[in-house]
Amino acid sequence: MAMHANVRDSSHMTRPTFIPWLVLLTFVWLTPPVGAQSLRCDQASTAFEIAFDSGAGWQGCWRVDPIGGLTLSSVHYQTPDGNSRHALAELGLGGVLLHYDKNDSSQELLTQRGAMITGQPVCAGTTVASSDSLTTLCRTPFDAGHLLRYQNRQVKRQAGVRLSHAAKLGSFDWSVSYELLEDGTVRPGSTLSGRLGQFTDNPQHGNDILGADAADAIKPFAATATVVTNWRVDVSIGETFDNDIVEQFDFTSDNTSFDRRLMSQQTLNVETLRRTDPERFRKWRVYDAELSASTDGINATRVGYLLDPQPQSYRYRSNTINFAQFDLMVTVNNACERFILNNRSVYPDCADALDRFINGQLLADEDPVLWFSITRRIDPTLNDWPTLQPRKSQFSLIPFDWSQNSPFEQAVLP
Amino acid sequence: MSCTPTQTGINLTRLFAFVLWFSVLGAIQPAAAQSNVQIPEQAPEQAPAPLNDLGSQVPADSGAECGALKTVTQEFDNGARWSMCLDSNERENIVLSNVFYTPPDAQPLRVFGSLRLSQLHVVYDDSNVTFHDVTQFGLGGAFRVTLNEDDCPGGTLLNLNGEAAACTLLNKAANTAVTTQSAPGADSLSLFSISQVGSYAYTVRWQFYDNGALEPSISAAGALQRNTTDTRSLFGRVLEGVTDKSWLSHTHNYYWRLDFDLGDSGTDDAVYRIDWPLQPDGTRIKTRTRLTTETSDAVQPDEFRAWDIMDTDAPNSIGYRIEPLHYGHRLVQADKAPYTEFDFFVTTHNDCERFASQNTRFNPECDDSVLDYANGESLDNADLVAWHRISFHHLPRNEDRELMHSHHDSFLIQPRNILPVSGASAAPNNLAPVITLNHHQSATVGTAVNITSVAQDADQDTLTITADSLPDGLTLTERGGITGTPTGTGQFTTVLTVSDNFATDELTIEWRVIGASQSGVIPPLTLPFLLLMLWRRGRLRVRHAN
Ligand SMILES: [Cu+2]
Repeated sequence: MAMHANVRDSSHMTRPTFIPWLVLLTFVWLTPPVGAQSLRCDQASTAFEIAFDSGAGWQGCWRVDPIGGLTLSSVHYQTPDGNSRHALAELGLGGVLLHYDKNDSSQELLTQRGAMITGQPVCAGTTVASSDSLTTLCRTPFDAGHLLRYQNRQVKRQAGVRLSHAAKLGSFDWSVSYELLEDGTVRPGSTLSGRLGQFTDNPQHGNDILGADAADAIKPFAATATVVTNWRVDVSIGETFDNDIVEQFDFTSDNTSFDRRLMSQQTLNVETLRRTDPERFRKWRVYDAELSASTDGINATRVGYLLDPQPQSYRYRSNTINFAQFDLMVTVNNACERFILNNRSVYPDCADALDRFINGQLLADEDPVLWFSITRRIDPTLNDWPTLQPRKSQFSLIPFDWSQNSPFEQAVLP
Repeated sequence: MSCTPTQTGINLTRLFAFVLWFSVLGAIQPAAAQSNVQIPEQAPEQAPAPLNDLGSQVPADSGAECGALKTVTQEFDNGARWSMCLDSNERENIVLSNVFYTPPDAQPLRVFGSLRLSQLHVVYDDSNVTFHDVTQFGLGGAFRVTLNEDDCPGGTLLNLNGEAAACTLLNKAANTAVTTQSAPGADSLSLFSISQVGSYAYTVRWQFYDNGALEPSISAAGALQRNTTDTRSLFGRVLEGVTDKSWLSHTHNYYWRLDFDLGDSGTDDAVYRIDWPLQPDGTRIKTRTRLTTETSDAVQPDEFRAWDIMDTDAPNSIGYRIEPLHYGHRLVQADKAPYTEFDFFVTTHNDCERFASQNTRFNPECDDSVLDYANGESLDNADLVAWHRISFHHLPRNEDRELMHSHHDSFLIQPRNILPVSGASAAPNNLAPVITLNHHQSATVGTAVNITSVAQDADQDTLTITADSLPDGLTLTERGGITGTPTGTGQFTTVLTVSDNFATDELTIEWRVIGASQSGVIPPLTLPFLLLMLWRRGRLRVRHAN
């Protein structure tokens, strides 16, 4: 029974000195591109490798981007039978909008407060994979519950590894985590803690939470706020990146006939902004055209990731950032289009904001990037002073048709 | 795949009813409803199991008193404790009653009279087939799976009637990276039981956190239940390896019944609807409406709607918040099941209002659905029951066959004002902001000034910065700097104040703004004048002579 991941460090890749690095590069260059040993990470990144007892695993690169924080790249998933497949070209934060209710507009924390590398991360009870003066990666194996369970037969539990990093973001503490599960699921998440930075003297915009400290405070009410976390997801299934296709699914009730739900499937052909549609169960899928069946229609095998917007429940709106009312944006990958706002302050040669990245480029034969937002509220209580109780948000990229059937059921079926 | 009979008693009447039911469906929907549904063997119909609500008779400072029921207690490293009574019945399976949370260094707080899953719908996309699993089948009795060690690694199996019926697992804090200033992640106790209903294996789980939060959740594993032979249907997908079947998409629609009994009295709780409507100027204003009568309420994503159940109506009363944060999917069948138009209900406690739907099957003396229970009775001095639902739409993928990869849904019941506030004032821990700008500043008319930051705060608190009488043309920036281009010369005195809400730093800055000529560049008209003066004094000539 695979309960915990067998965690192997790849610290030899961490910060090699110049000459060994050259030797290593030569070695990497000469090695055929199979498995983790040959995984090439750019100079700013470090390789990681995760091997589960079932034979499944992950390989990839991580870095702490000075603006965006913990970012994964070249992420490969290995099935239990040992086949490795490219899954994600890159996964990181695209922006964090913080909008205090008392203000008429939001600020983008990554580019305005920046420096996701400040502060000293702590990894209580976890394995530190790599560390230098500025960056610490926590990697924690965990049990993700049942993967398979049927009648009174054997049980297959799902193992996972969480890669995480924490930093100061203004007065907040901001932790970014990626949970990589044994079945190929990826769960990006962020946790907000630290201390509340803004107060107000208007009780309509804040809560009286200071207790005894209220007398010391200039403004007694802790400001309520909305936090929109946007993730930049460059799904790239297979080794060819420019053949991934993005689709939208709706399941529309047919009121004339017993509330049947008719599935409709739409290929997104042009860069676009989309909203969730909870009553139509809207969801999105990215699949690789080469690995998938060439036939059309809902029954065709589609090797890709399903992005189910379950955790996006609140709809943020801003008078100044029109695109923030959308939940999913799709753009053609452009390395210098990284942050949803103030992008030019980091990448002067590109457009400044996400709505400018979306400029009618066709998605066919291009590498698509998904930008997905999750909206959460900060409505402080007495328990959030002096330290904000952690607020977590997370979503899942669910593997879709990666194998002909469950690759784990041999562990359960007789 | 076959269903292994785990129960000897088969109710033929019930079985016949199901066969009849499916025949009728078949007649209505000949094309779509070629169902392979496996009819679970039924335990003989029984009277509903007695409820475990103990009302408010148990003294609040005692923690759970369970009588004949099993007691579950967990102490955490932070000193907090949860305790409750565990029972299992035929329909809902796990019923937790008399649920107490003891914050660190504080008295036990009664939170819930009882907790249970009160309905579980599976609604198939192909037609109007809706399973009400809790009332049509049940999660307890013969549907409850006997747990084995693999179900409960490192945990404790709990026996009921000599069978391993439930498992408790202690989960250490999520072990995510934190900074030194973060609140620690919360440890938690999860208590769960597994039920096999048809092809599905449901894990119904209650996760109790050491900070007082509770996360009810449900996972579905097992196998896909229904398919159709119409492989061109838009109601499902043909999965690899079985070309003659389309596996139907479907929605799981879950209802929880949460009998809140906060504090010493279970009849003084107050329920509020919280909205933050967007104002034309881009700000938001909180509106907090006390619900005074039984209410059915729907999510309002644009207004960030949430619901509070508070011990009393006093400001900063202890209580809990239910935020609908799992609403990317929302099942609505307005005609067929009007209760699906709502997501949160508050009703007065009534033992015979037990299931969110099909209640009259077991409680003919009461109404049939939660929508009917919420019929406007006053909530004044009443024992309140909150009902919350979430739904999940499942589109089959290859990974769901033969055995289905588990899908998981949960929501959070978050504590408000429950942890003891530390007695000592927290503000002295505050590090005061410091103005870093030099108190003598000079600038030149026409030359841009760009001071990126005037102050620092070691806590990185948000600073409020004010400056009176800056030289004309200069302004404070949003990020706490000073920019602009001075327009006039002179001496200026600016009082700069910086506040982090608890401490203030103040500095008087003397500005000397000089004209462009004073800085060494000779304006064109002054040069002839200067030359003339020098010539008249003879100095220029002297220099010439040399
Ligand atoms: Cu399902």
